[in-house]
Amino acid sequence: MNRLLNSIKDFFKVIFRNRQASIGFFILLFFVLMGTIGASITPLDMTVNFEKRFQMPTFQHPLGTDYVGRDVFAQVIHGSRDVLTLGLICGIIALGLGIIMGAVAAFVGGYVDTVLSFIINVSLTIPAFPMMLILAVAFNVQNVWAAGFILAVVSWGGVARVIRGQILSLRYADYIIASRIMGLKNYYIIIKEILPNTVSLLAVQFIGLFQSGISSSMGLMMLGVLTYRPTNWGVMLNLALQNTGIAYNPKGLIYFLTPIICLGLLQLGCIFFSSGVDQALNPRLRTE
Amino acid sequence: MSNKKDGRGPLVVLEDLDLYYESKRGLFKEPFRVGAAVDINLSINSGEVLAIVGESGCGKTTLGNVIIGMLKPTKGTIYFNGQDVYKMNKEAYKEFRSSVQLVQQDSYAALNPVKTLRSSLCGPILHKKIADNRKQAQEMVHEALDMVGISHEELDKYPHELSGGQRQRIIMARAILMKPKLIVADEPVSMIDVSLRISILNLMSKLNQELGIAFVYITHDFGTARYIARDGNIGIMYLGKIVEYGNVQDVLEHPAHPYLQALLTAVPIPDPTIAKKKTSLPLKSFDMPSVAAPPPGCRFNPRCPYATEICEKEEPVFTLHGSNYCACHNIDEIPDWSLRKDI
Amino acid sequence: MKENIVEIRDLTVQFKKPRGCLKAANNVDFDLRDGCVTALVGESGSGKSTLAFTLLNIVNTSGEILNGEVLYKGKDILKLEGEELRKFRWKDISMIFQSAQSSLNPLMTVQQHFWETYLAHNPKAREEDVIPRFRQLLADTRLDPDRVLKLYPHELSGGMKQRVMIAFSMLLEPRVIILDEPTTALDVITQDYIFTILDNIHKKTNITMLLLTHDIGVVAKVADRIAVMYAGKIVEVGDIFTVFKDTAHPYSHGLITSAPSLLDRDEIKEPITGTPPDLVELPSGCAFHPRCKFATEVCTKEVPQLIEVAEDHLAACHHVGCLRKEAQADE
Repeated sequence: MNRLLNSIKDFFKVIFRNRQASIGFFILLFFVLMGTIGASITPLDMTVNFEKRFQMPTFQHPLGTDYVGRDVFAQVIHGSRDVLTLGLICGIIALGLGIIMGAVAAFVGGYVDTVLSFIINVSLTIPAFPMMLILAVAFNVQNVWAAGFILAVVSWGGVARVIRGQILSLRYADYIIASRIMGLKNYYIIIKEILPNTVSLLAVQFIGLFQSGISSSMGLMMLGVLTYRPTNWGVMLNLALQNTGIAYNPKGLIYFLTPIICLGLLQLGCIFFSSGVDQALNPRLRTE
Repeated sequence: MSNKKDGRGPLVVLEDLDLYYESKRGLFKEPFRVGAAVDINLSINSGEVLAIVGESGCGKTTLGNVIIGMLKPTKGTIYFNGQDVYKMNKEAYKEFRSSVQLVQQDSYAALNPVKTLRSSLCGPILHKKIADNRKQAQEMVHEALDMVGISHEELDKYPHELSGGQRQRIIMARAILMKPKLIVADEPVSMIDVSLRISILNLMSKLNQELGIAFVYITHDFGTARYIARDGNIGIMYLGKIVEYGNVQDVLEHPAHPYLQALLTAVPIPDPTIAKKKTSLPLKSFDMPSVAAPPPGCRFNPRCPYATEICEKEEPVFTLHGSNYCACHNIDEIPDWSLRKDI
Repeated sequence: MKENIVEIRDLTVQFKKPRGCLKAANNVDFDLRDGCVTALVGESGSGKSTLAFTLLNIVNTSGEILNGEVLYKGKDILKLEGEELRKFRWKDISMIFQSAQSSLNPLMTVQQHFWETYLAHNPKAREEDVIPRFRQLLADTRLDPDRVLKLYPHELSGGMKQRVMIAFSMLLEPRVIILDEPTTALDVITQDYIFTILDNIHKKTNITMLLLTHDIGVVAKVADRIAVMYAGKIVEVGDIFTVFKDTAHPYSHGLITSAPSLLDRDEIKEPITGTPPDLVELPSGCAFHPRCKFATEVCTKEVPQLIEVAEDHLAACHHVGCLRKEAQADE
């Protein structure tokens, strides 16, 4: 337990030494707090009130109101919970799929490797976004799990390839050979020797999946093929596009820009944070 | 060439052993075969130090991998304590797996970079139940560290935080925790700072004498080979074959094989008065043939100044000559050569 | 006594590391005698490569030359810039690297390598005029010009590559050649062959050579003079026979005596104790004092200067006579 605490401390020591990564960390922390605490203390009222439509920011509505008079601020906050959950689900499923496919291909080898590598390559060749569009339309997604699953199904290929490559290159590392000579069992070698070496790689991959999952889900929502909850940033964007007239209606600008800026910030946070994660999880880079 | 002079039985015996690497060349062509180690007969007694010396590509690392059981020979048998390693039962194989350990050249690559030394050392002995619990494992690790001369504080460090010499000591500690009877050390000092080499070699001697561990020291460097194996044996490899074998002092003072004579002439002696004496190498050609296409007959014949017709046709047999074993057709015609002839 | 062709005066080169500043050369004074083979001996991290690189005015991006000058025939190399520097490199001082593999462009044949470099220094040259010269250079390194000129780097064996590099380094007839561990990756027979070739070139052209190595055997065989470097400082310089016979610095003594020799029968050698120094946090005073059996209080406080201990023999040690006394006591 103590050791875990120490490694967490070390992790943040490195993150905070790296300016970019610490900015990223605080951006992500901001959105996480927004989606958890923020969403539970901000009341969300989705009743239509045409009299209050397109109001400019006031104390009561910090970001004004939308085309039917609903508070934009509350929508963005509640939307963030949805967006983050979707990103997490997509990340977890894609990472899981990728690890399984990549690891099985690398460890079993032979024909299994040939077949799985082929599947991995096919999944990498199919253009992801059109595939998502088709899947989203075909399955008429109604909840966040289904949405996450669709996003994951098209984005695990990269993880699988990286994991396979990493394991193949570690298989003949001197210390793995030493472990085999010591007569250690395969499961021990996989869990205790190889896996710890992939942690930093997996963390970076996970952030990447999280990030791309969020941006593609927003794209799908903006196109109107993935609409299961009105407060999601993507859906907000879709509604703003359809119902406000965007550039022609300066009053709708804040409503339109808010989800875009949030998305941009979140993406930036992910990219910045992941630039320090590799260093923070790799003991060699950590102490340099 | 079993060596029973001090009554110790052979620990590992390699009998008529061949190892070919095969690479496929498409569906219909014959696979391409490279004989990395051919016709190997060797026995290692318990507590013995054997040096295997040769140039790069001579098959010495392959031979090391065969001895530790990581490469299955194409032909021939390897015995451990009298039992065929590839036919022994599970219990005996488990014992073999612990008894024969490897120390590699690159001490950084040989340790898991993301694990502390504590977990790299304690993990295996707990997993193999050599230690019953964490506390006992800790004690055993401390004992091993005392043996190799590393302070206990270093245990919480990562491999990159230590110097090459310290890491090589840690690897020795990891090996002796397995309670081995034989350690194969493949160029263990070639990547270590010169000022630390002797101390690592002295450590190996200490492990050999105090724990009775036999060593197979694989190297290209005759100086360190002679130093570590001063009471032991030496085998010289050329293009996958052992060309000369015997007691280190006998073999190096009176080398019989023309290849070994040429090699020894080329070794620079760290003394300017001796080293600066000009001697030309007794060789016809400086370029080593590819091990993939060894010359027919004696593999050394294209470079050998004493080669005759028979050398191009027949492979020489390994026979006892004086006190050394040597594989050469013209052994009696080759002029005497002494290491100290120029001094 | 021969003249100095290169004189390094009070040179300090520093590298910035996250942990602090690393002084790879620390107020170094060092000379190269014209026409001599000088061996610069030191372990990895002793600063010998950094010192050699300053002779070509190449310092790694994170490094900076704090003070000092490098005089080549009285001219400060460190002040050369642009075109002047480009012309100086390879024309006056050339270098052979440890990994010949990585210093050759895989997409160019040997002939293209020679020609491009020659052209860069002689813009008016015509290829057919200089090819005989290329052939002669290759022949000097005992390579077959007809075959080798047309080959790409991957078609050459390790020993051949190093020979091509030697021929290539002689292309512009430099006066000084730096050999950075030229045979470390090669086998003894090839090594012997390479040094025979270098010896012939040396006899033919009387070129000055600086050999960087950690192999004492090679030093004994090839060098006329030896300089020992430890933790960014030259600790001993002198004629090879003098230094080997009457070593003044305990570190050089350790290096020379602890090298296992093929001739040693069975004596146990005494290793140099301790570990190589951390160049970022150097020990105070003499950097070798934590590993030195003769160290006294003065060694922990004052940095010893290079002083003349005998004719043509300098050492930086507070207790220069100790080794001699010990040797006498043994007898």
